[in-house]
Parts: sequence; structure tokens; C-alpha cells
Amino acid sequence: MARVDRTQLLRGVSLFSGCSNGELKRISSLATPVNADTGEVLAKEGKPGGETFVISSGSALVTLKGKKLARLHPGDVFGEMALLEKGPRAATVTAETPMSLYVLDPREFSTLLEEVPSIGRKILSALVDRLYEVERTQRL
Amino acid sequence: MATKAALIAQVPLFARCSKKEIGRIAAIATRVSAQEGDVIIQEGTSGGDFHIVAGGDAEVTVGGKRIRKLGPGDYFGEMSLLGNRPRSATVTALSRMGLYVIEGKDFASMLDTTPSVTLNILTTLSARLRAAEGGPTYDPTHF
Repeated sequence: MARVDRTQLLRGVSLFSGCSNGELKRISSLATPVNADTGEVLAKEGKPGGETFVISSGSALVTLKGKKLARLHPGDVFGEMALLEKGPRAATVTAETPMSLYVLDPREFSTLLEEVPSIGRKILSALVDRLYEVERTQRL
Repeated sequence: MATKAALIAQVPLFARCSKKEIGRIAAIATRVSAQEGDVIIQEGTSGGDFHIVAGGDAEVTVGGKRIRKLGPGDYFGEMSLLGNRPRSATVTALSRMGLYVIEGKDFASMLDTTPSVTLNILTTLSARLRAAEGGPTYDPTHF
């Protein structure tokens, strides 16, 4: 049986693609792999929740007040908003397919940002893209 | 007179920085001033600087419509730097202002070497996104 190298699996996730081997090892020691079934609710708007998720495979739907906001794909991150702002979940996230994800609790997420700065910059860029999109839509 | 590093250390964005980090930021930040009515960044233009308000006030407009007011401690310019796009809004000085300016390439290296600054900007943008999307906010009376 082939032994799967966890750090090599992480390299396939776009959020971690620019990371060094040392950084991948560190990420692998911080992030816990989990699976979700189709239809499973991973975050519920307005509810407390402190974990951040990174999608490894499968897709999920982001909704707010029943309205579709976005579709998430492998490499995408969610859950970070509640963690950053220490507030409730900003939206509902539901698995559309069977999914595999990495989950980080608040302490693991802070450690990750401190030790692997490129990840913070990528998450910032993703937030900026979403802000552009929302602010542009609201102006139309 | 206070040193530049001592002034930088008072900026809330840098509140959690170590002395060493403050020293590095002071070395890449330039202090500039603006007069009332000065357009500091113009929507739609390409621009590569990050600005932090040290004193005075400014307004943020998009298509001539005011969307936000900025005061001491606020910052702007990060959207086009992080998204690698044209300026998303115009910022005009409402009074005489003092600002710190950090060039684009220095901004990137600041983020890579100062995680607390990245975390601070992440939190601010996250709150802006939540407000723009109309998402639920924290209700302190609820818990």
C-alpha cells in the first residue's frame, strides 16, 4: 500500500502552493483533515463558530438569507471572517458534493498566519476580490 | 521632538508591532502632507502606494458619491495593491493632513515580515465585507 505523504497532499491546495517544504510540514501539523457529506452545513449565518476551513476537494455553496452569494472550490478559504472579527458566522456554507477540508481552530489559524506569512497575503487578496465584487454590484 | 519611529508606534495599525518591526516600518514610511481639497488617490488610475492618516480628515468617494470618511489611524490604498487593480475609489483631503506613505513593494514585504499588520488589515476588510454583504453582526446583548 502506498503511503500518502500529507505534506504533498497540502501542496495540491492552491492556498499552500507557494509554500516551502518546511512550511508545508508546519501546516500539516496545524491543520486537521476532515470530510463532509453532500448537504452538510459547515457554517450557519448568525451562529457562533471559530474554525477556519480550507477546501481540499469538492465544492460548497455560500448563502445569506437564502440568497446565493458564491460557490467555493478547492483552495478556497472560509470561516475566517467570524474568527477575525470574533463575531457570528457571516454567511451559511453548505457542501454541494462530498468534500474534504482542512480545519484550523483560532489558535492554529493565528499560528499559521504568523509562521507562514504568504498565506495571510493570499487570504487578504481573496477578501479584496470579494469586496471589489460586492461594492461594484452595489453601485450598478 | 518625537522620532519617526515613536510616531509610527502610535498608529493603531502598528499597535501590536515589536520595537524591531516599528524600526523597519519607520525606515520604509515617508511622512507627507496634503492641503484641503487635494486629491490623494483617484478612482480608476493605477496607483501603487499605501497611505496611513496621521492627522486630518479625508473623504472616500466612488463615482462622486461619498462612501466613507477617514480620520487619524485609518488607512487606504491597500485594495488596489492587494487586488492588483486600478484604484477602487477617490480619496480627497477635507482638511490639512499628515500622512505616512509606503510604496507598493515595501507594503508587500511589510506584510510578509509583520504578521500582526496582515491580521489587522484582514480584520478591517472582513468587517467591511460583512457590512457590504449585509451579514449578521455581533450582538453583545445576545450572549
